Amino acid sequence: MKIRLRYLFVLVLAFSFALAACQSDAEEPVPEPAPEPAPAEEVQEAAPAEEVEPVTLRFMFPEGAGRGPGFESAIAAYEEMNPHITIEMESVPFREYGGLLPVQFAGDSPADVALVDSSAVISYAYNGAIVPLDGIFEQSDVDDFLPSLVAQSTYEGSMYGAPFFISTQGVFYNVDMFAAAGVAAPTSVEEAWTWPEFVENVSKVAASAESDEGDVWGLVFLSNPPGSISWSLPVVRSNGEPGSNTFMALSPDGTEVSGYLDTPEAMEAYQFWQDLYVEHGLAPQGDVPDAFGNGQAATMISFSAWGSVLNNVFPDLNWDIMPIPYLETHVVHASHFMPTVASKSDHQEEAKAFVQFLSSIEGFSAYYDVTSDMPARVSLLNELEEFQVRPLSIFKDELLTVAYAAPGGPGGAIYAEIVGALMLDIAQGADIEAAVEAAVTELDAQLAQFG
Amino acid sequence: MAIRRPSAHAIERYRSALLLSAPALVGLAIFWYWPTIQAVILGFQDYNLMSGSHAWTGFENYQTAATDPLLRLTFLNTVIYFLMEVPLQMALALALALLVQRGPAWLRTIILVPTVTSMVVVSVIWGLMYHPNSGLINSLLAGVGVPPQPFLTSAQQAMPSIALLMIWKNVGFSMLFFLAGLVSIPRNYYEAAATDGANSRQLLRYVTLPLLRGTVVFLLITNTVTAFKVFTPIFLITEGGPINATRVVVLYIFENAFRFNKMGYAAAISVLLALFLLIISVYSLRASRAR
Repeated sequence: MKIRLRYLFVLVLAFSFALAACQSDAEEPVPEPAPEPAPAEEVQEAAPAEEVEPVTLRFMFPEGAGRGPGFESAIAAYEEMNPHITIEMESVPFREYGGLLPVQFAGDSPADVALVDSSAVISYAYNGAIVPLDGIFEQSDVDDFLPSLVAQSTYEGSMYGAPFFISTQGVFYNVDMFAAAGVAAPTSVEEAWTWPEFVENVSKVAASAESDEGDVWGLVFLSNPPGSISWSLPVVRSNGEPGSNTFMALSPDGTEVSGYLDTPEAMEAYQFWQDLYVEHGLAPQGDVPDAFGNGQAATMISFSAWGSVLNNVFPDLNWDIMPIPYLETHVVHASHFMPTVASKSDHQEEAKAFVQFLSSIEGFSAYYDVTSDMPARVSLLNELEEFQVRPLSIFKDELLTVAYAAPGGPGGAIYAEIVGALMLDIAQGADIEAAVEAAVTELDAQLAQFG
Repeated sequence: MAIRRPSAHAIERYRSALLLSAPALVGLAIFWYWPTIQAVILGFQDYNLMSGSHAWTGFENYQTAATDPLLRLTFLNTVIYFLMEVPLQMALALALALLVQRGPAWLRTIILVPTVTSMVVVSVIWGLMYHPNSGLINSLLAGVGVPPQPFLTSAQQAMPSIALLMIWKNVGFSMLFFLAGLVSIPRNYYEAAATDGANSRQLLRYVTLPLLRGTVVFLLITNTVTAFKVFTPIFLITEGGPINATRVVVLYIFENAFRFNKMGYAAAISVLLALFLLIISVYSLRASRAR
């Protein structure tokens, strides 16, 4: 009995080491090359159910208001057309999604289709985690997609993400506070305030709204100060002429920021950004939860779907939307998650067909029936009634006239991380020259690997 | 000289001990030693987390580490944090242990509450308390006429603020060990010293502190290792800012692994940090024994 136990122990140890060794033996698991993409017509016309094997696809996406029911509706429509396909939804809490996604791709069995933030699509493509979607789009589709999304998903001439929905930014303002201060907000993109005009007018509103119950902030973001370049970088880019280095904020090949993030115009914009927080005290240097909804802030810069959140959580709040202010050139960032196909998927063709359906007019329409997300197609933006009237028409007009992709490329995630931290530091009162120099030096060193 | 063979009884005891500890050993092998070995191997590779591809690069990651100015900066920040946190925490823990040694049990419980509270919860609450515009600490300071302080938003104050938070969190743990050490000191030592006319300061200097040396060394080593591994409060509250003022080594390892997609380099820094802590621990133990 004792001898058996000893053998058992040795066996368990040996087994555990063998298990671990197997892991290391799997050298260089280079993803299998993607098969030649089938022409669009072939992908769309699925074979009859009785002739093909049933296929189950896993579809992973971050949770969002109405997103689950929206995708359920789109999936039901797709499964009805393709009875041999079953799609399993994997909904992940929004805050955990960014961390989970690379781990999924690093594992051996990532979801076949996953939503990837448009700013990170090229980075995943560069690293071989997702496959090109060439061939599933007609040229008419590409022409119909918003250019900012096409730019964010295109790497070495191929699209890796399918434009599906889009989000842009606007200034939500408290109508009652503005009325009480006698300040009229701009009502169209053409009338948008410059940042100095915004500061002057909103300071008046905030001063007029202050009461015994406490101070009122002029401006808040979703997090304060914002850590994401989606919110902060347009201020800097807007101080440059279109096509200038300041406006681009990153070299065209995505490997250098020296001469782009530290131009005189950019330095001037950083100073303005810091003044918003330090000199004018218009925005808080730390988070104030629900400040806009609770009447502790006169305005809030947020994404286009924020209106439905405000209506649900703060039904008594009287709000409206004005366009994002600018310094010299009007610019807003537009981005959203995009469906992508994993290079480790065993069902790439079926996954591509599903992605193609999602990004089609029929796919988005099935989704849109139960959500209010904005479509990534110009034709739908111009067609859906909701976006032809204020307040949502402001977002549509921004998207069609002044929306640009955030700077990205293969090092987009690193760029976003370091520039986001730079803008945060500046808002918190850091020495601008020292902070910019440190960030530019670190970014140039990091981005050099993509040259 | 004949080699003395262990007795059958001794062999039986070793066998039993080995069998009883087998499940834990297997767990250690799979979840501790193997990942450690993997980290060492990764340190010699260029590993792409997303595609899973990896290539041998020899000592390239270690050469990069030797010339990386950010690694030097983060290491220096970690040393500053260690100097701010560990000595003060241990001194405070000893003072509290002496204070509550004969005090009521509820006082010890109160001091221990932060130790058993989740680090995430503590970080979020202290982050709100440090809020420059509406935080509790600035409200209290305003009550005594002190102007509002930037705390976590200032490059000068951020690291001391984090160190203060961690002292509050960890002091109970160290106090518990000092209490155990104090209890183990025989009462007759104090009685003998008192008979010789020693006052309370001399009792502390010549009886308590020398007899607590083992506890001090243990706490110094564990607190040093913990301080050099600080991550959670910084990740949750400052993310290394402002202007890199709180960017510490473990955060830099995390950034390289999961943000900059440089898993091999992150592994190499992890190995260097582990070696550094190993050397510090061995040196502390030897220095203590030499005395």
